[in-house]
Amino acid sequence: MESIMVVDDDDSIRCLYEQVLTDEGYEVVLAGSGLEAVKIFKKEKPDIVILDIRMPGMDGIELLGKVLDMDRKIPVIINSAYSMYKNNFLTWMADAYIIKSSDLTELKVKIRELLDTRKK
Amino acid sequence: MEPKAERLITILPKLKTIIFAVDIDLKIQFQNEAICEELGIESCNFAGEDIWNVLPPHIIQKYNIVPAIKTVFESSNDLEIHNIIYSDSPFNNPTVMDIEIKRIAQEKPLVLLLIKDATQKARKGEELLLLFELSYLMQETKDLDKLSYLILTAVTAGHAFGFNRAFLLLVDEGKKFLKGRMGLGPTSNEEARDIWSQVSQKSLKELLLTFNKLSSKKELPLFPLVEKLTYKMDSAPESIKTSIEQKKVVKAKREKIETKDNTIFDTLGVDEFIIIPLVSNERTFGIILADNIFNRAPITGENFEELNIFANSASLAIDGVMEYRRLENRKRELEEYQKLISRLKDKFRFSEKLSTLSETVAYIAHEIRIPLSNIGGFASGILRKPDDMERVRKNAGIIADETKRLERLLTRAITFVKGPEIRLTLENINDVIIDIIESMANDFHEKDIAVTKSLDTNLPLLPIDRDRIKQAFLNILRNAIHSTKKGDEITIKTLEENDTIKITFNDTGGGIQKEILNNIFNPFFSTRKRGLGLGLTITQKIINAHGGFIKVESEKGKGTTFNVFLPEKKNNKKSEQDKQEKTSQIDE
Repeated sequence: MESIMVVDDDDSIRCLYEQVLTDEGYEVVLAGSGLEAVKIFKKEKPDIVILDIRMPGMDGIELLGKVLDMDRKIPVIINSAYSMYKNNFLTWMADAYIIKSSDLTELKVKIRELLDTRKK
Repeated sequence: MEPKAERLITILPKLKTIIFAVDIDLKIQFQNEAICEELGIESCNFAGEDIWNVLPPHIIQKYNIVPAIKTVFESSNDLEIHNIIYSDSPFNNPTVMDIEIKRIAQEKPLVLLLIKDATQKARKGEELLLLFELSYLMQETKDLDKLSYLILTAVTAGHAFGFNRAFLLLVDEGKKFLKGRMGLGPTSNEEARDIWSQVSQKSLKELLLTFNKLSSKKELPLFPLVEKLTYKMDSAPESIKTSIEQKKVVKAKREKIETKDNTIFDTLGVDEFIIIPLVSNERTFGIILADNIFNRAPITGENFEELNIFANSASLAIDGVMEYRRLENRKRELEEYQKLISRLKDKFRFSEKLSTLSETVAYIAHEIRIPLSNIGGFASGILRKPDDMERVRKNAGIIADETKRLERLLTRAITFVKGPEIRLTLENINDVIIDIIESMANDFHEKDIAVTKSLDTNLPLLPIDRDRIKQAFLNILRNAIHSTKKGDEITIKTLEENDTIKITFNDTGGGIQKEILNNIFNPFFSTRKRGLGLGLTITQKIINAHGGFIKVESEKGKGTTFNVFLPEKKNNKKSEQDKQEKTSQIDE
């Protein structure tokens, strides 16, 4: 089963993504902070990572760098409520940048697309 | 017959010195021979004549010549009488004399009267004095037109240089043109007579005052002619070029052969004029042209030297004024810049406000987005599996929580936009504080923070909105808890200070950095992720609405102190006028 790591400091969002992505048939691992994410990433070796940017402590951009250090080929989706971080070129290292919405279709499509590309 | 005495003096300039030998009875014994020749008298012998018949009696009386002669006879010391002014008519220039009285040894006691012509010497002295006076006046004048008028007056005034007309021409800023700036003098013979009769009676200062009556130099009668006196620097008449290049006074004379240079003589209507260069810092920046169009007096070289001295002084003055003007212009430019800057500042402040507003909107939009997308997401989750009761319960709970979050956000946003409404009742501030500490007991306990109260029990009751003040203090304490670690301390103090109650919240937490300290009351400024950044903004608004104010002191690593000052009577503090205004805005 393909596994997805969701990193977000908002409890509700983590809970929501777990539900939705489990329904989609993925194994979901959750992290509430950047530090936690680094630990879990090493242990669980997920197939794809979904990152929030604004988090206390290590923010999503810093975490993105750490994740890519550990696995250069891991697909990463940035999922933020803000669009302004698109201007930060560090976010360009991610494979996709999706604005948070109650409609998770775009996110689900992007996850599928990135995982399929990776298989090839 | 013309009195001998009068005629004698008229020949004085030719002879330079007239000598008489006078005895003790004031009878002339002999005289120098040249006198007779000049006077054209055949029998040239004044011997035996009384001195009263030879020298004008009013001069003898006025200058005490007889007592002087007596003194020399008695004391044998020589005497000199200077600056004896003799004038035969008010229309002629006076003759100035010096008389030397010397005792000579003869068997019969005699004195010699040496009468010397001092007219030139006196005129030189007078001119120097005038030059000095002019220089002084010129240095004082800061207006270029006035200064020009002054200089040209000096050149044309009879008691200065006495030219009929004078023109001032200045080199323009681009150094390409020599432009006529001002002309002074009559335009016709009749006018000339009028002006000169006035001039002879007026002092230089009085003449200058007449210029103040003119509203513009364009009113001067010679203005139309002045406008014609403009030349390109490289094609100006040779005489002018020479004067400019060699920086010396030049006399220009009409050439017999017709050349293009003769047009200036036609323009001025004269056959000769004088060019006086105005030089400063080795550069000729203008010239003065002067002529004698009306009395046609020839221009002689006799006062070129004085003209030069005068020109130097005039140059200094003009240059000074131009420098002054440049400075004034520079000053005006600077003032313009300053105005521009303050306009830009205003604009900037406005756009800053706009950007705060758009930031506010963006922030609220974002704050709404998360709970909204959560609600939508969990609702969809229920719709996908409506039979999974456990999930339905869980999701519904989250949806309810997120809805509350939205409501809170809305309340706070509205409070922020509208400002707090306050309803005052008389309260004991200490009770309010005790209340808050109790309601926050859990928060303190969680972080293991010790709270110390130091409350003044003699405080008067305060007119406050209890709930609002609670909210304000709550925000301060939440902030304090946020910045403290486990085991830190928070102290709350109340005391009375000049009709004001001071409430101090002190924590031993991490303190606030300076840059952040400046921003803590700004809306939407937050160091926390999950904060609206409105807490302290609202606190400040509430305190201000009570006519009070907040002072914050903080040191990184040592903690923070919030001092809240509340007036004992609302709106009775003048020094808080600024805040009062804000208050009234909020109250609307």
